[in-house]
Amino acid sequence: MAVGPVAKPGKTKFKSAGAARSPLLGIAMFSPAVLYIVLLIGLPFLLAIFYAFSDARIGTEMDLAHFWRHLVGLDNFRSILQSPSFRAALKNSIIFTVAAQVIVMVCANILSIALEKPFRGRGLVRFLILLPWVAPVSLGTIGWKWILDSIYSVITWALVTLGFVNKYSPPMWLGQEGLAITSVILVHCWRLIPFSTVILLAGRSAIPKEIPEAASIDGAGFWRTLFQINLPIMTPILGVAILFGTIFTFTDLAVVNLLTNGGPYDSTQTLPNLAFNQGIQGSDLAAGAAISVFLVPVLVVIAYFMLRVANRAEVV
Amino acid sequence: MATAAKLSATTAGAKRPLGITGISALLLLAAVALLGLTLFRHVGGLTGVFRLVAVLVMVLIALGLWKLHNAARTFLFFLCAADIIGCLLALFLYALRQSHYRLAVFLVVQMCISAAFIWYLQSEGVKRAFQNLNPWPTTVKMLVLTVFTVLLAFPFYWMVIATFKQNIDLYGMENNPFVFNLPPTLDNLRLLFTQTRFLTWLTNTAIVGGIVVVITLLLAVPAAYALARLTGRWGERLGIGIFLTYLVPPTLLFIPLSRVVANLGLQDTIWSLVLVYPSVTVPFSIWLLMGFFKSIPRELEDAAMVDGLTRFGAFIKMVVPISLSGILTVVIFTFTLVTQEYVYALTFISPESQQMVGVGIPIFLVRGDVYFWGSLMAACLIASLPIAFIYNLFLDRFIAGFTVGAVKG
Repeated sequence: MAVGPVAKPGKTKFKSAGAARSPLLGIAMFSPAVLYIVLLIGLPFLLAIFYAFSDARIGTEMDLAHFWRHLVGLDNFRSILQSPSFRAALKNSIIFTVAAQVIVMVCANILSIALEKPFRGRGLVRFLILLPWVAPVSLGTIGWKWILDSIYSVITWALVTLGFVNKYSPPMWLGQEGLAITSVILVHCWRLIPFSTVILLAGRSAIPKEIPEAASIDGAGFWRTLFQINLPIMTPILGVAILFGTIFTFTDLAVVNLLTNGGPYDSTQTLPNLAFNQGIQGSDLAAGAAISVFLVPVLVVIAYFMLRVANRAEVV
Repeated sequence: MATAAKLSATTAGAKRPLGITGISALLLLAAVALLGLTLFRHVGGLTGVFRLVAVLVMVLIALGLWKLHNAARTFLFFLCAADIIGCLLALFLYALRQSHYRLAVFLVVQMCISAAFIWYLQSEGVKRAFQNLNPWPTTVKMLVLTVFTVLLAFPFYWMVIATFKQNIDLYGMENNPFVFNLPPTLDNLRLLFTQTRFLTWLTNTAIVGGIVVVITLLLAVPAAYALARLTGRWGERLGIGIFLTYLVPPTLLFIPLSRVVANLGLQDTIWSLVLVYPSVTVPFSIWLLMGFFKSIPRELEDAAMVDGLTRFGAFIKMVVPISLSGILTVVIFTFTLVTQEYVYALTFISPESQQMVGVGIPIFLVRGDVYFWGSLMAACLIASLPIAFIYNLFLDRFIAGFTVGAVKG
């Protein structure tokens, strides 16, 4: 973040006198945005939690003046906790997120080291590498759906040509349990590697050049510099990459919704997709809300760590 | 290569080893031979183009080696290393498994030649002629970058291929899918633009994007300025609080918001998205702009206020013009986010004519169970590339926002 010298708390004292002259203007300037955020993020957030404890369905009018009549306590949670679809969704959401983050972190670190120094054609290489992240997610996923097609898959063609699989019983990339799970994880990785790479590149460019140089003079090799100097310095930025990556994978609907829609037999079901299927397509708002409320604990944890990163950056 | 040229100019006196002269002469001869073959045998189409590119690369390497440019040596080194890896894969995955022994022998011979080149290019004498530079680190980096670039960009390459293929070719099981077995065609594009609502979706996306950009700017620019300047220390706290609302995902809010939209009578129109999308764009935009405003020295506004402008006047006349680049970043960010969004558009809108490009393509270009893959891929490509290109230009600024101050510039 470009934080100028004015942000230093010590210097603001006499200058905030100028600010104190017009506190009303300040409030007038930021209150529309805050009001909008409260109305379209804060209230819906509370409404989502309210729905989770209610019997709301599409089609039944909700009398908000007597909203307590719609409260059904923990019934929704009791019923979704008993459904195998939900358990599969919860398990898969966690598996997809963790697996994708591990793969993404390894690959992004390698890539950011390779991309760090300027070279001829770096702009083009960066553009190509970034394509998965900057192109709309639903369109990239459709591209994968064609690559993983049950009949015309190019991967199947290559494997048949090389003689690894039988032409008459080709692998169903999105129709067999293990393969479908792998495919979804790989598409998530494909999408997130570029993002994490550029975040890590930003962190790498902030490492003072003198430290690795001094280390190499003292005889530290490539691996030792990497693990004992560069990675520790980059811990906060690695944290940021992991936090955003987690949020983008855990709360994503498009990839699973378009690739498998949770199938086969809920083996790739995730919380957002299940919430969409039950809450919107199945008209059961309450169940959908109860499912998506399970995203909240993860978000709270992420927000906590994000605050720690932000505070730490402020203090240093 | 420019720096390499300078370096070699300083050591222009260095003696060119005989082997290097030999290799560049060999490469030049091969280039001429390939050029002749391509021109006189009339190899047209993509193969011809690829061969001409190969000729160009060979000539460049040959000239570079002749002039003792290290870049040329490293590139040749890299090509040989890549060749060895390719040969090894082909040998063990294909030739030996399928008992193509003639191919296997050919691959082994090719590998030996490449290995000899590698051995020679990093031997002591050659190393001395090239300022004692070690080609290995660059080569490993280039190999890594090649592998990742191919893997990451492959789906888009695949979209290009599918876009221009004839259907018979696209769905021919016996055909090699990597090349055009029949001449390329524009049929898929024609179908996309005349028989589908693709243009309507693009228009909808542009309209929603434009309006959301305006709303986002009206809400975020004053708010960011106020939080950065006017309200002092707790402004920063509030700023971080607003940033945290960016972490609340659409997949948590779409169920209650679908009721809000329905009660307002906005369901199935693009206006529902106009109402809701700023909730995705405003928090991050405020956060981005706060950083920009903080980097502007306060003395500027103080001077303007001494000259008789009000605080608000100073903001409009002094601060906004200076931060135009930051504001432009927000415009791009907002617009790309609108095109990338999937959850809300899928939830709020069902008629085909009101759809956005990100949902219209995957949902409505499928008739029943039939996928029009050629047109589908064409649509993905056309909608993705411009957005990707623009986003790429402003990427570093977005990243500055994502790093939450964990990187000190």
